[in-house]
Amino acid sequence: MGKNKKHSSKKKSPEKNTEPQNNKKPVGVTDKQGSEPEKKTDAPTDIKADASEKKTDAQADIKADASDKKAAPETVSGEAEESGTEEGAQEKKPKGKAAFYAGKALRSISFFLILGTILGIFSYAVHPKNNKKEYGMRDQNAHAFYAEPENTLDTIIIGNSEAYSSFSPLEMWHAYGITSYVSAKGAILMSDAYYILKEVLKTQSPKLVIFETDAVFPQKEDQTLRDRTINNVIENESPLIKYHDVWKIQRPENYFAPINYRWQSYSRGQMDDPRTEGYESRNLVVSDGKNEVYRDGRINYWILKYMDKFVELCREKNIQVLFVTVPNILTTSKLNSQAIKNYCTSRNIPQIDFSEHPEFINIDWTKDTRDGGVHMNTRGAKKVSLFLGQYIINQYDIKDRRDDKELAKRWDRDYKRYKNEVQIKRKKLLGLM
Amino acid sequence: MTYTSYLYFFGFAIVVYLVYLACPMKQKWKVLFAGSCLFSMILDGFLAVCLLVTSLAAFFCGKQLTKLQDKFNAAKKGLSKDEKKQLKAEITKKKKAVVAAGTIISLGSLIVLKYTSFFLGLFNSVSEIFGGIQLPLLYYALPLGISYYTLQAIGYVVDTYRGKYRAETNAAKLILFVSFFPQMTEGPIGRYDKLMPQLVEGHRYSNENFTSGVTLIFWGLFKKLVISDRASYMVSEVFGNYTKYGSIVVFVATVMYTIQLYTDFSGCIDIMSGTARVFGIKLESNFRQPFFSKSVGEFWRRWHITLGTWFKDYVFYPVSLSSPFMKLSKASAGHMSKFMASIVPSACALFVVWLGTGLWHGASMKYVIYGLYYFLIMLLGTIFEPAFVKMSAKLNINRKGKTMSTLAVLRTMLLVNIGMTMFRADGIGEYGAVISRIFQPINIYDITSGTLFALGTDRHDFLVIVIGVAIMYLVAIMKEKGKDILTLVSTGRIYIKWPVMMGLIVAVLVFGAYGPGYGVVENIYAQF
Repeated sequence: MGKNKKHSSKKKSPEKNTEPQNNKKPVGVTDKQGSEPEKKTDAPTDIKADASEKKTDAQADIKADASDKKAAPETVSGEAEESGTEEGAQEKKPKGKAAFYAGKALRSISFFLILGTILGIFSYAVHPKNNKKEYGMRDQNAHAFYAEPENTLDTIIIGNSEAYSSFSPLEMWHAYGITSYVSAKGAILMSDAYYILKEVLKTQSPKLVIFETDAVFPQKEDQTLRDRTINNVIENESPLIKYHDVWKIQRPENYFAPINYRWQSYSRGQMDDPRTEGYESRNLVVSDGKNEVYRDGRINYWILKYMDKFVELCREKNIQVLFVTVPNILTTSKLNSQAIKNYCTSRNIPQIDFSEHPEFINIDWTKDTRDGGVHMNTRGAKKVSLFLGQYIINQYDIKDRRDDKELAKRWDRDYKRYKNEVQIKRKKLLGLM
Repeated sequence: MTYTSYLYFFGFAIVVYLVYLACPMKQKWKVLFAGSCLFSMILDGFLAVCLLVTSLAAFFCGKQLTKLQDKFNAAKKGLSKDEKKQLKAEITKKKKAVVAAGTIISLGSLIVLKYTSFFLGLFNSVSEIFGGIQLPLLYYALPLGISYYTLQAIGYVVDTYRGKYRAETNAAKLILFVSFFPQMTEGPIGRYDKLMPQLVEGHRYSNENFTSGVTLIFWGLFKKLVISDRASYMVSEVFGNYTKYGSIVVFVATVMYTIQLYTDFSGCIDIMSGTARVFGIKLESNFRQPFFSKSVGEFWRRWHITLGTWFKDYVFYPVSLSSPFMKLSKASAGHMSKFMASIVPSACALFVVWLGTGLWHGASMKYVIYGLYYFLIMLLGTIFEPAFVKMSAKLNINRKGKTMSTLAVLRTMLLVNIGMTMFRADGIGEYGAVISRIFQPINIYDITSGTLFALGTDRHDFLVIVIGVAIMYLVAIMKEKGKDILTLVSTGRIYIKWPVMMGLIVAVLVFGAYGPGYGVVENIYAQF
């Protein structure tokens, strides 16, 4: 019945009848629809096109007649999906309809399964097989915690360049036997800080997480922060997207090699720099931040969102959180400090603000920074770390681990290397090497 | 929010689409309307205001024009021929005033925002020669897409004036037509009679539309992220420091720029058309394998088609049919040879068109030169055509043979490459310097030293670009031969459909220049 109706309507309007038959019809017909503007521009081709259109229409008619009979059994078996129209589906009997939708669902599922498998293969092929830069790992220092023995790090420090410049895990080890690691990236996004912490917690069970607050004021416009955070979250959730361009440096033998993050950072993530370029005055005058962009104490929505997630994650795992503000001439201001203070008060987080209390570390701005007041140098980092180590030992249930001989061997060896490297860097700076 | 951002796809397009599907048929257009309004507001509040002003101006002018026409139609019954004529003249006068008002409001805002500084600069240069006053230059923030939607609105007003269709009676629908989000910032410049019915009618989910739309989106992303953005790094390095590089490097950079420009623009249009297609809406096509053109004239009929046809319909015809031009054509017929008389009037009208096309791209002298460059090439081509015909007849060359056709295609590519370089250069002076750099003696060291691969686009990127362009080329050849891959994918069998779709998705995700280490490259044509 339905077939007959279809058939007679076809004869009346050739345009309509071509629609459900799209897959059977010569491709040229749809092509012509697409190139309509062209017909207008060239008069001579117009005539040709008209003639050929009539011809194809007629051909389509004949074909449609013939194929209609052939197509009938095909459509029952669910092939109508090719035509893609809903009307086609609605004409089916209830049983055929169910089978039709089941077929459709099965197809979609198999499409995504195959696609997922291919993407999975590519994802593994481009994944860095070692946590070093040469293998495609970005910010290798921030990711060397993978090589630390499991559950040996009691304190994790997360932040941006202020964090990796200002904290020295080895100084804290040497003075107080604290095992810590600085997992910090230059210009880190708060969402990235959250994901790094999540990653660290896979192999370590720290008692304390320290967050350096400079990352709360990243000196970027709101829109940029929104877009970057969205990108960053997607990258962290999908390794293929995060490492997709590692194909450029991945050696073929590593495509399907096992992942083995064995590269260790002797300085435990610190990027020590003994250069000294002081701020002009011994004491930094902290700006009040009024009417200054990025120093007015406003925290961006996306930053705040991920600060909350960061803190929540720590609370969930029963980890203490401490916010530390290392002073610098770029982003510290009274309003910014106040904003952090308000945040910490509202969430009951302890806080140390060195920009408000420079006397804690007796900072000398002419000697303790490497780039005119923006980042601490090795000397400044030692001051900050020693103060912090003392604070940690006093305030938290963190033990001196120097009794653990095996651990002490590694850390003492690296402390020596650290001191040595600092000497070498100093000598190089003075031109002695 | 760029068209290639996650936010656009996941936070905007998909949400609008789901709401669109969920709405009853008659309400679907309202979802598009709300989506477009929201999109313009997210992009820029000022853009939303400009869009509203332009759309409302077009709406009221259109309404007025149809009203006048109806008045004439009603009144003409029972009038004598002379009276009819008189009434018609009267009504036409009024209609002209309305169309002028509509055009002035739309075009006026475009001119003020886009060209104030250019014209003030011109005034200052002239004034400087005569020792006159210097005016301060005024720069305005140019809303994205103003050059596209303005033309679309003007086209609508002029067409209602011409009686091509009746004016839209619903202001919201007209706002939707002017600001439909996929074509808001880069076109294609749509026509009311083709686009509006599709926007309003509402479409159910269709497998074919969905598949072809998504494939087109990924094809666009492939062009933009895999090819264009990779090329952009080398292009900006070389054009920024062209004095540092030898002829080969500079020439490669100009070719790369042409590739970048084409893949950026057509890629973005594909993303937009794909988005619209998912909604069941077919946008006008903007490109038809432009790099297969045998002449510059043909190139412009295949490149940015909607701009070309817009200028043809709303500039070329009105100018050619205006009374000064009619007089000119009569005068040239009387005073010149038949050949010249056929060229001069249309050349003059085309001059206006190309001046307009050039200026449309931007408020700067280089764009004027850009337009006139193509005009000049086409004019010379037409003038020397008889000589070429004679010459090839004497030399016994078959101009339509395969070799000559290939040579003609290559020649067009070269001429276009020279023209497109002007887009990228900072000014006419720099453009000259870049071109003259190409003609310096060739230094093989440029290649052997590896400089070519050390300019932001390394040898891996080059490989990807070459393969990407080869794929595009194959697809284009198929299309020239009448086999549209997109149709094959949307209507074909699984063994064609799935490999193509999966291949595109994988290529974009793995070989796209996005993510950490890659900056977002703004769409070139969105700046115009």
